[in-house]
Amino acid sequence: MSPTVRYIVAAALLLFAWKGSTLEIPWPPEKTTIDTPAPPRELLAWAEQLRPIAARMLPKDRIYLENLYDAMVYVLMRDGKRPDPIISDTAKFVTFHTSTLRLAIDKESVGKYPGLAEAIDEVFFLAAGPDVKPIDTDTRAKLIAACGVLSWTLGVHRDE
Amino acid sequence: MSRFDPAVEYERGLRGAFVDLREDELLVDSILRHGGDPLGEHVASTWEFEGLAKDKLTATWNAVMRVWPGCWPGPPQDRGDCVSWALMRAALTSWTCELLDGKPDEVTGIIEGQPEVSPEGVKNCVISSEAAYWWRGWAGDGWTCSAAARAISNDCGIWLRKNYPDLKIDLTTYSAKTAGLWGAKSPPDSIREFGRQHLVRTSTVIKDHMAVGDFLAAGYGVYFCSSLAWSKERDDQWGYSPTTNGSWAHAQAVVGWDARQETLKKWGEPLACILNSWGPRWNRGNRKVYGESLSIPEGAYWTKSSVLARCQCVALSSVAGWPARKLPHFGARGEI
Repeated sequence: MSPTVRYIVAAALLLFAWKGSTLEIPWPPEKTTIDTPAPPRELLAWAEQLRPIAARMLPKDRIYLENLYDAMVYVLMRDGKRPDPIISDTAKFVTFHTSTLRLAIDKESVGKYPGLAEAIDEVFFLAAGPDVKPIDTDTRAKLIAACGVLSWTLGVHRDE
Repeated sequence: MSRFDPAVEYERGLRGAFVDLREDELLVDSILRHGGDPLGEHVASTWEFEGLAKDKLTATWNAVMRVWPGCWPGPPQDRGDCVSWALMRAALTSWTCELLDGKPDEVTGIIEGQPEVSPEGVKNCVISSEAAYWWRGWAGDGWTCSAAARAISNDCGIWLRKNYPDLKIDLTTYSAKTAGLWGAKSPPDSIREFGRQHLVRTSTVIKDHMAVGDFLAAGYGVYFCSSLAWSKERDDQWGYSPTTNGSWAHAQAVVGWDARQETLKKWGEPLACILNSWGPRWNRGNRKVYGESLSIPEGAYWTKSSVLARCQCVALSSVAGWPARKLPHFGARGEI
């Protein structure tokens, strides 16, 4: 036994002695999930068009977008707390959303999932409507809810 | 092809703009009746934009031409209707700055948007000067800056350059003949009703020429009437044109202000950018803004701001515009 291996074995024996005779590392690993509450059913209905598309997406892409829209929830909430919100009307929100996606999504990946862009936009249309209008408290809440619906629906296994 | 050469006609004494003290009084009265303030300097101070132009270049023309590429200088005027041209340049400035501002209209609460105007309409300066000229009150040529300000706030409003088949008028391109349609008698009620949909809310008279820069910096268009004439040559470095010994009874719009330190050092005062309505070729010379990559429009020139003290300057406030168009998408299209 080489000197290095001897030290590893010694450390393992000390660990067992210190922690007791049983090893408390579960094997096989248990499935642990931390989950957020689902949005209300009537809001999840905004994502009807998105659901089948999400089901065909790669998990890594779903998780990426889930986190992106989750982050947008917080950005909108924080912006709403400003005395002078930056995203003050729906046209500015469109600019914010466009710019976010432009930075977050590789150019080569645009169009990877046909219909995804339209389905995402549809969620916002159903939430806030097509008019250019100031973002009052109600509209902001709806945009935040829309981001929440997107985040939830894009999450893995949530389309089931 | 028109044989009217505005540069020649004004040099010969065409009276496109004149002063009428009674009209000045009527304008003040109209402003006060509608809750406005006829004293420009007071407006700048009350609304806290006094000094806004200090130490900087205010390239208002650039803001307008970003929204409406190619809108200026437009074609040359083809009769003595310079006041309506100058008026509409100022109105386009105020309206476009409102669009860029993006805030809800202070009266209606609606966020206003940029309506569709055809490329031909944009090339003819986006909004019609003829629709204002119909209100000049007599059949001949010539108008006052005061009466024009009163008309745009009470009667004519702003008209997009397009065809109005219901009214049997096509305003897509500038026409001297269309400009002369009414005048001696007021246009019919159908015209007034349409014009009243998009009135300029108020105006004010600026007596202190330095306040002109502040109005431009705050996004309000300014035009003026005077008897001053300018050189047809812009200098090589600044695009500057001095006044001459000649006399034009003429109206023009102020579309920029340069109060940078280097400008004050060279000229001892800010420079004002004037946009003439004689087309792109009445003058020549450098158009590049000193020290910048920007250029002023063809037909424009820089001049000493102090000359405006010899002009009757009017500023126009916000416009009752058009509701914003619907959002075509919410940002994901083409990005994911």
